[in-house]
Amino acid sequence: MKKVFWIILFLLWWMTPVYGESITLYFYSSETNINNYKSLKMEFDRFLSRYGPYSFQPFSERQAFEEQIRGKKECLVILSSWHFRNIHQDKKLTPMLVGVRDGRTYQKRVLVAAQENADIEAIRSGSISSASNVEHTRSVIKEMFPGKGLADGVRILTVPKDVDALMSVGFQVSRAALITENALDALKLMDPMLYKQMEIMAEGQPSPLMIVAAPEQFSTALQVAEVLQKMPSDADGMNVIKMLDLDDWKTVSDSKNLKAEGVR
Amino acid sequence: MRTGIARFQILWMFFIFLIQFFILALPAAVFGGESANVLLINSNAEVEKYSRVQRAFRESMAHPIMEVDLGIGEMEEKMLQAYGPDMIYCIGTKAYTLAAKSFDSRPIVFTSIINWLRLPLSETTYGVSNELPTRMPIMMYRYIFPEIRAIGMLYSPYYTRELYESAFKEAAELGIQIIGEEVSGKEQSRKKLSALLPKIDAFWLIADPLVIPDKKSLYGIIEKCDEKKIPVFSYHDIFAEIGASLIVSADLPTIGRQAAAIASELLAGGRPQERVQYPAGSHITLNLKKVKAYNIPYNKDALNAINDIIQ
Repeated sequence: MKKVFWIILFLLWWMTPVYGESITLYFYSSETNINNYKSLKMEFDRFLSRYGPYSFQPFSERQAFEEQIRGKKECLVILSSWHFRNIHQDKKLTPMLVGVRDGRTYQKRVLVAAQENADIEAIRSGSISSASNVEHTRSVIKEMFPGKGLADGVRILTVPKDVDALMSVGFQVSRAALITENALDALKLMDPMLYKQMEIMAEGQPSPLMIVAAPEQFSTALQVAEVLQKMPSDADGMNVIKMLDLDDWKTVSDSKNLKAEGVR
Repeated sequence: MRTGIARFQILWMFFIFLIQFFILALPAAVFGGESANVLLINSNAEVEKYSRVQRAFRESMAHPIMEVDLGIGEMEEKMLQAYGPDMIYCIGTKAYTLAAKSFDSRPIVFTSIINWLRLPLSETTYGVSNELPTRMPIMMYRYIFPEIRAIGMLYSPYYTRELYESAFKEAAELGIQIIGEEVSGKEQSRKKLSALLPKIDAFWLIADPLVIPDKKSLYGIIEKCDEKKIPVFSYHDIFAEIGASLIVSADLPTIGRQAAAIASELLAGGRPQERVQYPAGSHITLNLKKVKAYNIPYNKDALNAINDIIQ
């Protein structure tokens, strides 16, 4: 009996480093209205579990996400660069990785409208569809049309995806759509006729893609970040990263312009 | 006993209504204020597709909302009129029928009604249809499965001929051929499908009571396509659970937000571009397990547009 006790004790000690406290990757995106949380969690957890006690926790609300990461010392957060810029000082976050799509770490947002409605007054009297949250959408529109009062006055219709925003313009639900340049390129493949009807009214400043960051005191953050960097070389990992509309991660030190953009 | 429960439910509903009335309507009446009153009537708040739309509407609406659930019990017209709403939002046919009867000149916004074209609409009726524009699913089929060129469809002349004709035209513009077979009786689906399968790369299963008259026919269609490794595309997530490969449906919270946007515009004195709008958001489920089993090439770049992936 005594022998069994010691064996169990030994096994518990031996397993401790493997099944110790799990490290959570918290996710919230203000830029894309990602709402495939169930699939994202399942796929991320499946991929991460191959490398250690990691788990993925997506959030649909900014407030809940920020409350969850408050005071957490050992975790990683995945968020939009715009959101990171707003909270990194308060939450003491250090950027570790930036998303990559088609070899670029930046994206540009564009405001598009059907050719017959492509003027500010027409848009003001209708609504703008966007897959970003309302706060982020207004901030980008303000940057696109400074001093025009469009950002605060226009109604914003939040839709699940950029393609929905484009379709809503095509079917006259909204007057304009705030989307990424990438989504407009995808429309060219999806529906060339609808693409031809669209006119770019304004372009935003380039902004970095999604950021992976860690609390300043998290000493082994690099180890977790390295797991994420394995995604593109793995078939399942590639599917997961594609769900975030990315195809790779790059360490922030590689992205020289991040600092200039105010991300750091 | 059941009558007692029903009476209690009606009393309870009346009690809730009174509380909402005092909280929402009286302060505005006594102290004045610019806020408009919105009356929300839900056909049955226990039905998930209704409650999700209601929640999104509530979250997007700046004005006070009096909420009535017809699932608890019937509501008298006079009680609703006593609230003096400036605008009525109806979820489901039962709610719309009651609102149309109770308020003839106030603006009414409806959602979650199957085939809204059969409704009596007045000059002050607005809404969001339940069905996505035909082009939307075709566009997503093409985006997710770029190599698919011919899609089969069973339709009946009475219920879905218009849908078939519209799909045929829209798909042709997107470089896809829709091959249709007409079904005119309840027992014909399987036979017509057999004729269709050798000519198509995918099968689009639509809501038609002659195509899917019962559960047996539904399973029969899915099994027959599965035997030939032909992916099934459809309109409801439940079909993905029984073997369909791709589901494109309307996103419910977006419908609620659209209704709130229409209501806000009307209350502000504006007029929406379209009286009845298409749903602006889509919900996409991909059964990757089936796609891999059939060895169909899919566009990985499209995965960010998928809401649910079945592995």
